[in-house]
Amino acid sequence: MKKGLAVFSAVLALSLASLAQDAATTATTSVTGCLAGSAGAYTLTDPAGKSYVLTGKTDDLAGHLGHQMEVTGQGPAPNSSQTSSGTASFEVAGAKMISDQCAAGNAKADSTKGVAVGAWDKGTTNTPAGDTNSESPAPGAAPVGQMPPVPEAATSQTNVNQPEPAAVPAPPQPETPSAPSEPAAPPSQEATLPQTASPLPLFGILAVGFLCAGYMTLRTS
Amino acid sequence: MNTLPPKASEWAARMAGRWPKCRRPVAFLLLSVGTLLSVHVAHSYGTMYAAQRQLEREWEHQQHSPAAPPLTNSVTRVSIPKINLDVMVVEGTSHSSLLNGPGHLDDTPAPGATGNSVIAAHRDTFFRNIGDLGRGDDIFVRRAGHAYHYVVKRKAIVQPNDVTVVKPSPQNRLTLITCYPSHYIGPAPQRLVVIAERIDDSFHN
Repeated sequence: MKKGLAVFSAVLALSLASLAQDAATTATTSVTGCLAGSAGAYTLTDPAGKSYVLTGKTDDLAGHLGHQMEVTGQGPAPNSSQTSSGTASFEVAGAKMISDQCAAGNAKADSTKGVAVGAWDKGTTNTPAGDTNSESPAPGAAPVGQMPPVPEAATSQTNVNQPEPAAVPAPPQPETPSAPSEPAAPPSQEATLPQTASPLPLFGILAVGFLCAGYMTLRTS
Repeated sequence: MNTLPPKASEWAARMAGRWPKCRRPVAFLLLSVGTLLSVHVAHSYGTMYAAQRQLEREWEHQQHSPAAPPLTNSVTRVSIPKINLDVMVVEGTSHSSLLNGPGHLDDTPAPGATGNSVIAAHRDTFFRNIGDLGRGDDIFVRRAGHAYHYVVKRKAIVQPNDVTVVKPSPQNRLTLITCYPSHYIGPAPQRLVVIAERIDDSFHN
């Protein structure tokens, strides 16, 4: 009986721990900078020149172009290596206007001048996203390098490297064109990479655990 | 048991007295849940296998068909010799799509086309070993009678919200994405990304 309960408890603990997937990715951070762009494609440039492509709740940003804003949400921390150069994506949860004009070098403006805007302004956390840049490889995982900045898309596509036709000639079909001219065009849904963790291995372990626990419980009876 | 307070001790004794009566139902319940989970897992992997075989037949038909199918409707086959991977790619990266095979991310160019083509797959099945890929390793893509040769340029670990890896690219790029850590059952808060670029010497079957 005790063995069966012990196996059951271990399996249950393992499943609870595993169901916490992606919980560590929801760290909230905030970035201050100058808002630019147009409807649906806003960018925020901080005093260090780092640009963030804003996604998420950007509807109310239309009236703040050229203003100095503090946006709160999920994204790489300002000092993270992901934003050391190039452009990073930032999912906005709330925004606050710091100043009605962008002045170089004063992005960290006096917060007493700040004016809260929008009903969706959460205006809360300024938590440094320490977890957003944590890259702790698991035991046994292959070593990987730091992600270099992805080059910006060109403004025009060239077809110099079109695929060579194979033995069976195929009629030329228009390939799916990318949209290189838009600065903020992440093609994925809801600005996140696909979920690629399958629950099947966990279910398999749970199945083995339940079967073992059931067998031991039955055997002791 | 002696260290328990009196009430807890009484409760434990009472439960121990009842245990022989409920032991069989509990065992039956545990075995039933275990069996159901086993059937679910086996069905999922069986469905995956069947979908791959179906796509493989479709791909072979397209390869040998006199009239090549439109590129947008063609089945893509990805082969990575280093990790013994040879799979058919499905369209979309939804949960149900990824159960059948690696999924081509919507709104990105088809594999072989100009731009950044993105393919994602589960870490426990198809892309389990893509972390073993290194710079210079070959990736072969065959689709609609065309064959494309990619070479791994780099790999990286990124956050799930770092969509810069799927941004459009002027280069002929193939981006493979899976969860990280790869050899692990449990939380996968990051993504392993392998970036390959097409080279001109397209191979022939």
